Amino acid sequence: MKQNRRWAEIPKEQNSGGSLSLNDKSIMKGLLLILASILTINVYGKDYFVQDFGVRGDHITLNTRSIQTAIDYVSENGGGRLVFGPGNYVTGSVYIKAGVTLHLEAGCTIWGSTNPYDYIMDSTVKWKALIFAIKQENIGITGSGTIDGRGFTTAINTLNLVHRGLIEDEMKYDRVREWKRPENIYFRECKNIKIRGITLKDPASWNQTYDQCQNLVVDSIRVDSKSYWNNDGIDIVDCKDVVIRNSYFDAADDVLCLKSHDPTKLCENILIENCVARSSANGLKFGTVSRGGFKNVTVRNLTVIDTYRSAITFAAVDGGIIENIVVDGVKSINTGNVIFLRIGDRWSSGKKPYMKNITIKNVYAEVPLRKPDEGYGYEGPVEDLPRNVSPSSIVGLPGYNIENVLLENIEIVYPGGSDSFYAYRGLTAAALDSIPEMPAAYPEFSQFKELPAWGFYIRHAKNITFKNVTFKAARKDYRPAVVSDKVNNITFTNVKAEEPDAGDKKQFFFYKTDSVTIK
Amino acid sequence: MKRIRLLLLLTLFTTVFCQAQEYKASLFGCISDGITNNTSSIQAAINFIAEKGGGRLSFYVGRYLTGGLELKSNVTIELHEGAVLVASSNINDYMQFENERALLFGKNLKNVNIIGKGVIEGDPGEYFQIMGELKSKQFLQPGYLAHTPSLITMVSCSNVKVEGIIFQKSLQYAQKYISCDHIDLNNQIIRNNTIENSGSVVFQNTKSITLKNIFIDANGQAIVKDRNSEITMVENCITASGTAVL
Repeated sequence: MKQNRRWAEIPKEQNSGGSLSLNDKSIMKGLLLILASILTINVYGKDYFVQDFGVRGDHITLNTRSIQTAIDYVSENGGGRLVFGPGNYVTGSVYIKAGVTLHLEAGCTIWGSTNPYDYIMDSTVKWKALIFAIKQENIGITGSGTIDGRGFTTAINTLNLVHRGLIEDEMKYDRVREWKRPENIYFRECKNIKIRGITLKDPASWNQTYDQCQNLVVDSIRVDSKSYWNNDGIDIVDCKDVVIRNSYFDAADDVLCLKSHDPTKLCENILIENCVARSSANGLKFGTVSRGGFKNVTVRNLTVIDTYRSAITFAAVDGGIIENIVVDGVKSINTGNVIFLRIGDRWSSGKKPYMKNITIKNVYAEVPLRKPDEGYGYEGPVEDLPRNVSPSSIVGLPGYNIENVLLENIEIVYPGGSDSFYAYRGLTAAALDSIPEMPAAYPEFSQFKELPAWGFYIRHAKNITFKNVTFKAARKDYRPAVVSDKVNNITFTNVKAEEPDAGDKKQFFFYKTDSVTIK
Repeated sequence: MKRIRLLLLLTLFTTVFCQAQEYKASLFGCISDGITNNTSSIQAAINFIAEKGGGRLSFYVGRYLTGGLELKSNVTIELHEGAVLVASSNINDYMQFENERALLFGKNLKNVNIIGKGVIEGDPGEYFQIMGELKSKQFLQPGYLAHTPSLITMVSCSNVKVEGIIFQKSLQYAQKYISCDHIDLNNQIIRNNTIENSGSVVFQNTKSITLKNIFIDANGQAIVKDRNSEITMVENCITASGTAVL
C-alpha cells in the first residue's frame, strides 16, 4: 500500500486534450481488450504454506528440491498460492507450474544460491535463472517480499569456475556470457501471468525475462539491481498483451526493455504507465535485439532520473519493425539524453526494417553536463569521446527513413557551453557528410560522437513534426539547436530555441531537406 | 642435454598424468562447513570427472552436507581421514530413481570405488522429525516413506569397491546392492543402531561378493541377503556382540 501511495504522488502529466486521433483510438481498443482479459485471470485457488513441504527460511538450508516438490504438488492438486512467510529462503533453480502463484509475504526474502551449480541451464531457453516457467498458464509471483539473486557473488563464482576449466565460456569483456549467469525470473511461452508487489534485487544477469508470453501484468514491483553487468530491469521479449504499471526500476543496464529475439514474432499491445526508471543505460528501450519488432505500444507517465544514456531509445537494428508507438508524459531529469530513434543494420540478414507512426508528447527533460549516474553501482562506461553534450536524435539509414514522427509539447533544457576546441562538427556539406552512417554499430545516442546540433539532430527521416517544442540551453553553444539532414517534409509549429548570447545565430539548420514548414 | 630434456619431459608427463587422477572437492567449490548443501557441486564434479574419462574426487577433513548424488563409472569417491559426507535430512533432497533413493546412487555402472578412512553419515533423528511434519500435512505422495534413502544403493553395477569407510547413523540401510556383481567390501565400520529392524548391508540378486574386516553394530540384521545372492568370501567380519555377520 505504501508503494501505491508513492505512485499517487507522481504528478500526472498533462494530456494534450482534444479528440483522440485514429491511432490513439486503435491503441485504446487494444488496451481495453488487454484489461478485459486480465480481469478474468485473477482467481486464486487454495493457499499452501512452504514450511509444510519441508522448506526452511533459515538463510542456510538449500530449499531447491523442497520448493519444487511443493510447486509440483500445488500444481497437480488444482493450483493455488504457495505462500512464503517471513524468513530467508535459499534456493537454486525452480520451475513454476500451471496454476501456481508464489506469494511472498512481507518479511520474506528468497535468496538465490551463490553456487553456480545450483542453477539449471534450461534446455528450451538456453539460459540460467532462479525461477523458471516454461509453457505454463495462470501463474504469478505476488506479495511484498523480495527475491535477491545475490548475483555479484554468483557471477564471480561462475567466473572462477571458468578460470578453473570447469565451465566453458568465451568470456567476452572478461565476464561470463549473460546466459550462463542466472536471472531472477525467466518465463517463456506462458499465458496469464501476474507479477505484483515484489522487489527484485541483484541477479547475475538480467532481472526478469518474459519471452513469447501473453497476458502479462506487472504491477507495483520494485527492481533494485546494480550488482553486475547486464542487470536489465525488465525484459519483455516477443510478448503480446502486456501491462507494466506503478513500478520502480533502478538497475545497471536498460530498465524498461522491450526486445524481439524471433524474426517471426513481435512485441505487441503493450501498455507501460506510471513507472519510474533509473539506469546506467537507457530508461525506456526497444531493442537492442530487434529481429521481429514492436507494434502498438503506449507509454504513459514515465519518470526517468539519473540515467546515463537515453530516457527513450527505439532501435530497429536487426531487421525488425517499430510501428504505432505513443509515449505520452515523460519527465526526464539528470539523464544523458532524451530521445534516440535509430534504424540500423546489425543482424538484419535481408529483413527490411522500418520505424513509423511514433508520437512522443508532453515531455519535460533536463540534460546535465556531468555524468548522470555517477556514484551508482556498475556505472555506465565512459565512451564515444571526445564529444560535447549530445542532442536528441532521429537517425535512419540511407534508404530507410524513420517516418511519421510527431513530437509535441516538449521542453528540453540543455547545459549548453560546448567547447569547439574539445570536439567540433561544423555545418559545411563536408562536415555533415562526415558523420558516419555506422549501420552495423551498437545503437547508442553517443555513437556518432560530436553531432552538429545542441538540441535535436535528424537524418534519413520523413514526415517529422515538431509542435510546441522548446529547446533551452543554459549557456552559449557553438552549434545550432536543430540540424536536419536528408529529411523529407519536416514541420515546425511553435518551436523555440532559447540560448543566451546567441545573437542572430540561425538555430534551425536544414541540409538536403525537402519541404520545410515553419509556423 | 637432449637426454635430460627427455627425462624432464617424461617426469612432467607422468606427474601431470598422475595428478590428473585426483580432483579435490574444493576445486568444484565444495564447502566443508556442514551446513552448505553441496549436492550440485559434488554432482558437477562427478560428471566432470566422468567426462574426463574417470578419476578420483577427494574430500579432505570437514563435513560435506549433500543430498542424493548419482555416481558415474570410473569415478572414485575418496574420503580422507576426518572427511564426513553428511546426508541431508530432507527427503526432497533425494532424487528418486525408480523405487530407490540414496545418498550415493549408481545404476549400470562399472568400476566404482568409494574409499578412504572417512565417514558417511545421516541424522535419522532430524530426518524422521521432518518426515513426521510432512506426513502430518498429508502433502506427501503415497509410498514416500517406503523410499527412505540408503547411504549407498547400487543397481546393476559391477566392480564396486567400498573400502575403509565408516558408516554411521544411516537413515535406513548403510549399503544396498541390487543385481550387482563383483562387490568388494572391506575394512568397514558400520554403526547403524538408530533405526529398528533395519539391515545394515542388503544384497539382492548379487553375485561375487567378498566381505573382509567389517565390524557391524546394528539393531537389525547385520547383513541381509536373498536366495539369489552369492557371497564368495567372508573373512574377519564380526558384529558388536561378537557373532559372525552371517
